[in-house]
Amino acid sequence: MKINRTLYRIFLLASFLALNGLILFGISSAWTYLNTGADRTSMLHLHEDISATYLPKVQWEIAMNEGRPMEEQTLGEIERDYLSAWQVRNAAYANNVPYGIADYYTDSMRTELFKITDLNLKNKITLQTTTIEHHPKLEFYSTDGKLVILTDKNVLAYEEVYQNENLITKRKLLSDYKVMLLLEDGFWRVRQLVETALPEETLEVASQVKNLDDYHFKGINYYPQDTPWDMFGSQFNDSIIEHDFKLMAKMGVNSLRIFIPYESFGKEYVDQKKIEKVKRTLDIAEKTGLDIMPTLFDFYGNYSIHDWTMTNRHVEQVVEALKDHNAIIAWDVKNEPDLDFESRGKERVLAWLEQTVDRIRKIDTKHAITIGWSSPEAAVNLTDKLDLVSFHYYRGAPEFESAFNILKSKVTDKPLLLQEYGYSSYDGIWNGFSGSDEKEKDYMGTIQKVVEKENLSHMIWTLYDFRNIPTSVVGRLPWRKVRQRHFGLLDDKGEKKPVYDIFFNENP
Amino acid sequence: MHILHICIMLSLLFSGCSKKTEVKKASNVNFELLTSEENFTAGEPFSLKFSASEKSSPVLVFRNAVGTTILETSYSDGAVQFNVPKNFYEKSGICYWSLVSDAKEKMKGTLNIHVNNKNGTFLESYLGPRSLTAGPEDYAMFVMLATDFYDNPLNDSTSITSKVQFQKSQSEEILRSKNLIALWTRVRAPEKSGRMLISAACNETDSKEFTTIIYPANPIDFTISYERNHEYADGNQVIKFKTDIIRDTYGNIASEGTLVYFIITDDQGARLKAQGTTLNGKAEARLLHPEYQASWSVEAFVTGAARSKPIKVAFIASVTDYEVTFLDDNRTVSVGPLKSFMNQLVPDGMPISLSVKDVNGDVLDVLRTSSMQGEGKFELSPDFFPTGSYELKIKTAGITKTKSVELK
Repeated sequence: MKINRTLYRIFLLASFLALNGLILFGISSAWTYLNTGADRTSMLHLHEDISATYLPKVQWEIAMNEGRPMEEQTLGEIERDYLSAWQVRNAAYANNVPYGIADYYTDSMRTELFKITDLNLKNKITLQTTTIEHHPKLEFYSTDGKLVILTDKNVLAYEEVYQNENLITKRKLLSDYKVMLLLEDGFWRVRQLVETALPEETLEVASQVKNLDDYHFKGINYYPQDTPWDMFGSQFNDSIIEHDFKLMAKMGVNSLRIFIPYESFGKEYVDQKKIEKVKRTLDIAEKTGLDIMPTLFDFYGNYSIHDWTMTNRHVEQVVEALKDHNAIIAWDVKNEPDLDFESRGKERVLAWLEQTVDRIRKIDTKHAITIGWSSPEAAVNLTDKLDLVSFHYYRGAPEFESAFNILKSKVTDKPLLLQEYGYSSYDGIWNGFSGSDEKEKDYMGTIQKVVEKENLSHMIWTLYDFRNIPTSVVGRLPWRKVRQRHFGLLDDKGEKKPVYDIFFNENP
Repeated sequence: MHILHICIMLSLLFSGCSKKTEVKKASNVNFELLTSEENFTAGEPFSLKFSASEKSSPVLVFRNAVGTTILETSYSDGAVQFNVPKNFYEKSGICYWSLVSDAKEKMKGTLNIHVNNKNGTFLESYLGPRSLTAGPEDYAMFVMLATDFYDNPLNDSTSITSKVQFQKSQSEEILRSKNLIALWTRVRAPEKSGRMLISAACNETDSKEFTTIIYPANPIDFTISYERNHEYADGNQVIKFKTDIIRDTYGNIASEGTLVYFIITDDQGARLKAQGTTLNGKAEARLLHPEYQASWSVEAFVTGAARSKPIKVAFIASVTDYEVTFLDDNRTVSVGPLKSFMNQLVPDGMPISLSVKDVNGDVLDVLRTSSMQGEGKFELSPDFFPTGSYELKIKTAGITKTKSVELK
């Protein structure tokens, strides 16, 4: 009885305290909520950095212009406003809302643009346009510093014309312009834009790839075991990489595929520290005798025409920095872009890939370019643009041969590469304990027979079983994550799994 | 049975979700361009006609420097006709067309729309800077943009006349346009200051009138003089410094309001400064006479441009001597009467100082006063100066008198 009373008391006291606690918590959260809102500094309307969103390649031809000598500062302002003029024009034609036109075109010029946006609005015509290259040359700068004339030669542009949201045509345009700009209200505004003589047709840079003729890839898709999908992040450790590279070289591997993510490498302003890490990796690869195929634009998924100038600046900086390294064997533009066909539109993705291949080719004619298609069926796209046709295979092992043969019959003039294949040995609750190391071995064995029969270049996914998979790779779902962890030739302790013997039994 | 139903339902569900595949019929329609003309004139409507080998509905994508559009299709006599919209046929330059049928480009071509010289010319002109300094080094730039009625820039080597009027002279220059867009000329400043009018004419169209003001160039060295009532250093009269008419190299009178500094160095090396601005080329500045004999060297400057030759101004003493009387056991010191050059009492306000030193020669205090009715008086209070011997130094009008006194 007494114990019961004590228990009641304790219970009453505890519930009283808990109730008070809850009330206090409630009041405090309400109080906090009422005190949140706009940051107080927003009252000051402080200057915010606006990052450029339109960065076509601009190469000024420096020569003596007529009139007043040009100042560097003014030239920068002219370039900024002139490019903005193209950007707002592209944006205006994209949805026929002439937003921002008034800032970058003078009165008489903007009415001409408005006439076209009105006409196109009426006829439901929209244009997706971007300019890729500009080669301006200053012709004249007036003494009072308020008027310039420039010629912009070989303006490379891309245009898609839509009517009622159906693509009518898409094309590359090459034009020469004469432009007159006036300084009004602090903006350099376009007063006249005249297209001059017909330019020559685009001279596409021809591929001069020689290094692939007798090259047989026997490779691995590589990530360090502890930092999959984040190889060049803060945990970058060259001693781990050196250890792994030596291990793989000893196994008889000759090439590796590594990944350069778009966003974490700084997008259009590439992080030079990360580039240094890549270079260090390439140095190690060269030392250990491995060739590297970097996959660019990992985790990129926009492909929008308005984003082209940004991705071009990215690829330019990456390729320019790495192209002269001896360890580079080829460029892989994008990993499995065909998976974005449905969500982003096949045309849009292909257009982006095509122009990105052109960009890389312009900077580096020597190295092969490929795209890591997710299936043999997708690999028939853009083959004429590529030096090496790569595809991935994760479906049933018995069907591999026929799928491969179809591709082989379609692509006859380019070398083929089975760029990713593998099997998860995961055995657990999420697949009903149906996997095993032996199944992995069987699967890989079946495919490897075809690979060897066809003498097909190949790259295995992957060296290690990983301990953690970042959410950005396959999403949050645990059954996807755990599956992704068990594709390795070596298990999470670095021990050889049964599948290892299929590839490297000849090397003791 | 249930399982069968579920299977059917599921399969229906999936088939309902699957995307419809569009089957496009490949067509082999051939087109032929019927319009042979490739050159057109701005402002004159035209259309492009095609004949098709079989019935089809192609579209024509049309582009000029400003933008792209799709032309509306009309049919006449079995031919497909595309009317070029107004804003496209009014704009001169190269146009690109491309005939698209069944998502394939069937034909493409270019055509030229030429500038229309018939409906008159518009002349847009810009002049800057709007003010110049006289002389051939400075110039304004006159930029002219001649367009046709539809705002298309006229072709290269169109002749434009630029006209310049200045005072009695009037000149014309014929210029040929270049760079498609604009042509320009430098208008050199004449040697005289004044207003210059500039205009342009092209194909019987005249521009509006532009004015640029020619200001005098930088002044050149000049001379200065002074005026004063008398030469005595009485600390009361005002001396006036004047420049002669300041001019530039070309003889133009310096701009009104040019600032002139007069820097005066006295015989002690001390500097005084006075300033004035020009009016009709002349600047004036005033200063009070010194109270004691002095010799000034005066020089005038227009900062950064011109200077005068230095001139000398001498002042002779107006007070030659004065008396000092000591009263009340030397505790009251009376100075004066101070008499000027005509034995008149000096004007009120002549500064007088008395410095008090002790026996060791240390200055204890400097007392100051100014004359009133020609006299000044100092009281040496026993609170500050206890009994003892002191040396008193009286100074006024540049004359110093010293006396050792015993204060009681």
